[in-house]
Amino acid sequence: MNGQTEEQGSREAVEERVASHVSQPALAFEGLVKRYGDTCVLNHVSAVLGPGQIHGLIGRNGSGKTVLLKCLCGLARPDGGRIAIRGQDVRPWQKVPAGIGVIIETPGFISHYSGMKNLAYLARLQGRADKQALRRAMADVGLDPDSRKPVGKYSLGMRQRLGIAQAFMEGQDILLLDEPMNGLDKQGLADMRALFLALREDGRTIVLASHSSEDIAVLCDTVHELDRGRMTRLR
Amino acid sequence: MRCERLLSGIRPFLSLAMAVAARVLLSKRAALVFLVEAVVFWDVLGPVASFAVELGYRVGPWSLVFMAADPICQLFFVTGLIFLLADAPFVAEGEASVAVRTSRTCWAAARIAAIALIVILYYLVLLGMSWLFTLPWMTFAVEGWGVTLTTLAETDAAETVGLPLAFAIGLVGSMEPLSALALVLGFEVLGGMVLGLIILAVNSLTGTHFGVGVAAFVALFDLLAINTLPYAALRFSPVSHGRLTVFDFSGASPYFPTPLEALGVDLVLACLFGLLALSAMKVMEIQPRSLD
Repeated sequence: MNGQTEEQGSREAVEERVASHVSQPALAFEGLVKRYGDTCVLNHVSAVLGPGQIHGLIGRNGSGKTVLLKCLCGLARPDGGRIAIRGQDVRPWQKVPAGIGVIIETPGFISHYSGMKNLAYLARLQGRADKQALRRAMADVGLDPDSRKPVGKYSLGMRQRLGIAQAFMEGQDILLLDEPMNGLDKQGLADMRALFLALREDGRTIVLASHSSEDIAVLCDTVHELDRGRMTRLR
Repeated sequence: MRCERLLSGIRPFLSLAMAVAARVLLSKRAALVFLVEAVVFWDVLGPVASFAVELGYRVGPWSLVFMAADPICQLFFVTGLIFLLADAPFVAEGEASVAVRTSRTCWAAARIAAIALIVILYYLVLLGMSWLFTLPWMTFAVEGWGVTLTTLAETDAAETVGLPLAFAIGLVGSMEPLSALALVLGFEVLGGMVLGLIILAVNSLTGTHFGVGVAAFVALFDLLAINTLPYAALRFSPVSHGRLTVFDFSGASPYFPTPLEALGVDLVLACLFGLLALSAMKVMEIQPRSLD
């Protein structure tokens, strides 16, 4: 009985999440400019990313994928243009709205803490996730929530899995993932692809920056390419 | 209800500050710094312990007061601290996942609090070292400064036994040891905070490690103030204020600062650089940088 109620509640939450975003894009940016000295990394970049989809972002090394993700989550300040999250304009250095999960560059953790303790520390910063949600997130990425192994002894793939877990563990509905498949073995790749598809089914929006054409082909609903500061929609 | 809201605001700030401080203090760099400081303490306090054995009296726990009064020891203390704080604002790999969970103001303020924690713990460890290296011959049950330290300060015994430290004679006569130790720790922590905030502000403003250079200049300004500049410069040297010998407790000297004046200068500098650091961190790009 309890399980039924929980399942119904969870379905309602998903429907509500999807319904609330139908009328507005999850992320939109227009005329985004970012310069480092004389180099223009983002040159009037614009896109509208719909909710409940996986959006691929491809480009060569140094093409500005990471910088774009940093601008979207407030880690870097664009020199021009505007960003809207769920239809709301985000001004530079205004607090980024809650509900955004990120992996930018390498996921970093407190190396002498266990995976679960690291997630608990991050969750405490926002005060949003309960212990059960954290355990679920660990299990979803294939890590043992009861393991006391310190993160310093994790393999690269395990760290990456933990990085993905922290990005969605509090129910974030927009995920900005920069090369999330780095360091994963074949099984890990398959698991994470399945997870991302399940998250999409759950109504979450994922922006996936990747070098792997296979990941992009299998997972993404739309694909944008960044080249010399310009963005083109490929699909 | 209001209290709960306040706590929910403070909790992430404290968690973040403690995590940053722990990361710095548990790093290999911190181990290296404490190892070097331990060598300095061993070099200075070894002969004090031998002298205590020779004299047949135990040493009181006040050695740090005399060490801090020596410009070279003081330079060792602040150099270690500058090295420890060189990477301020301590942006780690994966900082993105922390930064999106807090406001930028909370993220920045936690770094200032972390510097305060690091400086306090650093000087507490130094105090612990000053006890550790005389531990077998030390006692807390000592009246006043104790025979050993008083003899070293008021006679030429230090020179005779080859102590590498000039024991400041004025300290023993003018102050109670506990007040002196409290004053030394207070001013050392405040001076260390100023250095840390200078590093934090300049590094955040420039996106480089130039703050280390500026802090090193402030540390060396202490030696300049003693040797080259007019003594009045000591009023504006936060590193000098950890040495009680620079204070004029009567307030009659036109050159030397009173403790209150020194406190005023240090607090103004700390507030100034704290605000500068806060505003710089609010607009900086969050990017991991390390000297390692």
